[in-house]
Amino acid sequence: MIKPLVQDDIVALATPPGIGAIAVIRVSGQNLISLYKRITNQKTPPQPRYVNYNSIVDINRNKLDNCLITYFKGPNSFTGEDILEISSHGGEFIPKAILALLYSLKVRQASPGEFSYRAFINGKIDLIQAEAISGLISSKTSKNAKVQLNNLNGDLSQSLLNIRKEVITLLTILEHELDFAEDEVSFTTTSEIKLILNNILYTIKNIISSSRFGKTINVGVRVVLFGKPNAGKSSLFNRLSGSEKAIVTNIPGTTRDTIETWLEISGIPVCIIDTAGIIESNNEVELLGIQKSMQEFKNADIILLLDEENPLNFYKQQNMDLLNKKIILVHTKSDLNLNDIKGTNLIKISTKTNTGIDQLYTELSTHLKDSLSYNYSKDPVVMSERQHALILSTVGILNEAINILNNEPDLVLLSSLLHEFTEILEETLGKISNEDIFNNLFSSFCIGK
Amino acid sequence: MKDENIIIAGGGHAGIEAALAISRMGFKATIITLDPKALGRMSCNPAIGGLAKGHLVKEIDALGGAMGFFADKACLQFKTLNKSKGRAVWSPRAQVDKLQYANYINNFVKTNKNINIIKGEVVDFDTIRGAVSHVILKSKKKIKCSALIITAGTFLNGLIHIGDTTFRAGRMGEIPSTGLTEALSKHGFTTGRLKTGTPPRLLSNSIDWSKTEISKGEKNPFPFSTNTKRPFFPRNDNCNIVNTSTRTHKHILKKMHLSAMFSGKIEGVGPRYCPSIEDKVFRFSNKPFHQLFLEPEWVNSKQIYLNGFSTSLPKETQTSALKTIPAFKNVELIRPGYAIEYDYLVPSQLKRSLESKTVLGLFSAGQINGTSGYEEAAAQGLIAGINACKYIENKKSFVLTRDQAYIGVLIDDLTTKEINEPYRMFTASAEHRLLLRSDTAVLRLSPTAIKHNLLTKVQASTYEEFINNYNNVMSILTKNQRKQNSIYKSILRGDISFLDLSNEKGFNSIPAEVLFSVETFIKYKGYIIREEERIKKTKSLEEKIINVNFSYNKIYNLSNEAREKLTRLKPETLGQASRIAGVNPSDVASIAIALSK
Ligand SMILES: Cc1cc2nc3c(=O)[nH]c(=O)nc-3n(C[C@H](O)[C@H](O)[C@H](O)COP(=O)(O)OP(=O)(O)OC[C@H]3O[C@@H](n4cnc5c(N)ncnc54)[C@H](O)[C@@H]3O)c2cc1C
Ligand SMILES: Nc1nc2c(ncn2[C@@H]2O[C@H](COP(=O)(O)OP(=O)(O)OP(=O)(O)O)[C@@H](O)[C@H]2O)c(=O)[nH]1
Ligand SMILES: [Mg+2]
Repeated sequence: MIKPLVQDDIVALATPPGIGAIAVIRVSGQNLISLYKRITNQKTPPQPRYVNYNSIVDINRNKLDNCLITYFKGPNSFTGEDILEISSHGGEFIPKAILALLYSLKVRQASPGEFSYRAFINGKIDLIQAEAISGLISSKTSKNAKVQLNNLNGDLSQSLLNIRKEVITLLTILEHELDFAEDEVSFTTTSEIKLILNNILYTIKNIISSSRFGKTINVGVRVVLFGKPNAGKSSLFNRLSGSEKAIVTNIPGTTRDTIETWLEISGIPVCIIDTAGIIESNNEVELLGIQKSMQEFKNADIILLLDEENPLNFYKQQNMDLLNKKIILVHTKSDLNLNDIKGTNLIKISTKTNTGIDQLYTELSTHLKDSLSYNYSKDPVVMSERQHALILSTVGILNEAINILNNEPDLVLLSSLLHEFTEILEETLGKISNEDIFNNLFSSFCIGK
Repeated sequence: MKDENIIIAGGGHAGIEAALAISRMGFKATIITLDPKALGRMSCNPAIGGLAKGHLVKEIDALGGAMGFFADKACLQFKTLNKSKGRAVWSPRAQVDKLQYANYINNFVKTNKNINIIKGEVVDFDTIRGAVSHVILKSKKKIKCSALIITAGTFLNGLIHIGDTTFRAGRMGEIPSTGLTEALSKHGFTTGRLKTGTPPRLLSNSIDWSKTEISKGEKNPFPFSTNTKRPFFPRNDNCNIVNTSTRTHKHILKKMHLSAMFSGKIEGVGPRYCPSIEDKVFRFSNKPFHQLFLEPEWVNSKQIYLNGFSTSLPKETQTSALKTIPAFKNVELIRPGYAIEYDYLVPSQLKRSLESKTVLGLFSAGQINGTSGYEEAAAQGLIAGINACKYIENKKSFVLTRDQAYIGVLIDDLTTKEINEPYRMFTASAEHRLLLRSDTAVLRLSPTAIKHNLLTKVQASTYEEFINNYNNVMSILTKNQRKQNSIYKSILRGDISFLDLSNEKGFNSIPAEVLFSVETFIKYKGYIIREEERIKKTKSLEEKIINVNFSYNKIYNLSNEAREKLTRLKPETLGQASRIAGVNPSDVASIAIALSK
């Protein structure tokens, strides 16, 4: 639980601890000028938005390090408060010593997410932007980072605000019509209103279609290696991950527990999962492993179905054609020439000779690119599950509203729906009806942001 | 009988509902008023109800108030406005005989044993330990009281303008009230100045009626009051309509500089929504004509109220402008239209109970709180009356919320918004119109009224009967809902209406209004559920109480604007805080967290 409403100063290391030539230490608080003077032993206050070259001195006025200190004066800063950004030399000792000095001067270590939280609370960012920061920090790929950055700049927020503005204008007209029976206003016709609503619906649907893309680059794609024991799953896993993480033996049933590894293919985070081979068994441990395999199978976005004889047979056996999932058939151990089957929708590989591995990569990346067709540099992208669920619920409302206009137009019902619509947009942007939402969000951040 | 005395300063619509509510709750009220003969006088138009105001009248009735019942009795013509829109905004309106209405009210109040009427002018009050103890009259007399409700209407330093003539008056023909504003300031209250206007009254036989259009009333209207006897067959007199023309407009534009409002003489702010004819001509210059309604002020009245021609032009200009309209070629004015400026008490200084946030036992209600209209005044009077009793009983105050009643919306707006023109009720001000329909007033409010002992025995049993009927019909219909060709489904499809329902077996003794409510609910049900869901979402916000003494300086994250407004307006709940203009979501979040600590 965050308690940011105490008027205190907070500090955190903004760069990873230990390694690196320099370390950045960030302080936020109501008034940091005296703190600056104290730690630098200066008489003059720092100039805002300038890099000040100073030595930092400890309690006994002994020099700790030469630092670059940037001072941002609130409210013109990220948190809306005063901020000091101290770039010191890196390593184990110096950053720790500076932090210790600051702690001794009653600067508190920030809770996770507290910087962003303060930015939100001080009205510097909205909830979508806060979510983007959270995403930016944890983003595993450059593409993800780019989109999160767009959202941090307010792209998605701005599109939602534009829609909101349009609906409010419409509501103003409607309300006027309802409350001024015989008045001086000329009223908008239902067909005009319908046109506006259809346009909004179109925009909203576009935004929603971005969410699959958003999810893909945010959460990543799960690729599961699946097949009978000894099919060569773990061997492929090691090949793809460039490691020896998975144990390979000629004993069927070697793999028991699932193993994961992350790759980046075409800018998308991909999680490769090795599983236990599927077989009828009485062995309790083996059965548990198979259960886990099935679980992964269910959660998979893409399945690589491996078999050394004919993956198609296994495919049919398991009724996989009924599944609404991308399945790639992989014929393994091609170097052994066990079974020379023909087929175009089949990839032959050998982990011994490395044949077919490139082709498999190509196949995977083609499929991944399909889900990336969204033009993210231009259009806003829905990145979080929370955003997605809220925006999705507005589609039903808009359809209902258009439906009303198609039948006997009851303007009160219409207005009620449009009010609901705007309230949902506001909730997406962070108008609260529930304080728990952002407590959860902000506590999942890492400390320095 | 409890012998505590509640004093009400003012005998207008607010004062009367306050006194009657107090009497129904078993307490004693003393009305002190400038002119006891003017009790319940309608200062302006001869009509009660109308858009959103009709809803207020129904709610006042459901809470035991008198306005609807006497409007039914004095009715000249009934009409439901907005019939072409949705049912939720259908608003009953009655053309009313002003003389009869005031007479009924007079008799009713004067024969009430719990109400005492004194002629006098309240100029100040005393307090003991922060609570009201005495009122002080102009005659220097002091009267002890346990609570005081000020309902001075447009009378505080009232100033009438007709062209360049100005004179002091409370309204035409009545003296203003002087000294009370100054007393309020002395006690630390902020006051402001507003303005309203009224159209001229025309001499009936100077009008060429053949050149007017006829506007008929409704044949079988539902009355306002559940207590009114059924069947209800009110008078259904015609009204008449004429149109202005570009000739009229040119004439007015030419003389515009003579209007008190345009010459800059009036400092009070008038309502934008009820513009004077000068305003209309000026602001909607491309509109070729404006409609004017000719409304009789009482039965066979020689005096015709010209609705739509509110003005502060000089009398001669009013006459000459009107003469450009064929029906008014030879028109004579009995009384010119005029504008009146008056002081009001900035209403954000009140709690939702209408008690002052600073002086215990001091209430105010009606036009003095910056509203305009009989219905708005009556609604506040009722609530202030109830809460004056609650105050004396030392009980929790009676507050209606925004999702319960238009009255709740009205008072919540008054106490959180900054009023800069006379406040009038609009349906758009309510977030949950589908629930706050005029046909649901009794269903929504009477159970609470019964619980709080606000009704007479007779009222309580009448309302209970209505509610029981409604519940019975509803349960019969929903029980068979899924059957093929069920009545429920036919209603949904729009195949049958409430009128057909009364022909159904078992329903013939059920009042049509009950069936109307049932039909409307069934039709709206899906949407009503959606609105209820929306209400639930913000419930925790609405119910989170903020102490009046809460210090916003403790929360350093607040924007300066938010801090200033919150400190000044002192919202009673987090929901109210979130509605204050300039208080952003992040500010609300900060307060929420500060409160949860
Ligand atoms: C010129 C004019 C135009 C209007 N135009 C419109 C309009 O266009 N639309 C609309 O909806 N409404 C209009 N109204 C408003 C409507 O008449 C009022 O809103 C309504 O009557 C207010 O009721 P009330 O009880 O608050 O006050 P009022 O009905 O004004 O009653 C005030 C009462 O207080 C008494 N009083 C005042 N001061 C003292 C005192 N110090 N001591 C003792 N008694 C006191 C008076 O004698 C009077 O009985 C208009 C009113 C006027 C005067
Ligand atoms: N010749 C040849 N042998 C292979 C190839 N891939 C795997 N093998 C051999 O096949 C055997 C089983 O390989 P694994 O990768 O352990 O098979 P698995 O599917 O993970 O088996 P389980 O974990 O038991 O389900 C090992 O002896 C591997 O060396 C290949 O491409 N060519
Ligand atoms: Mg294995």
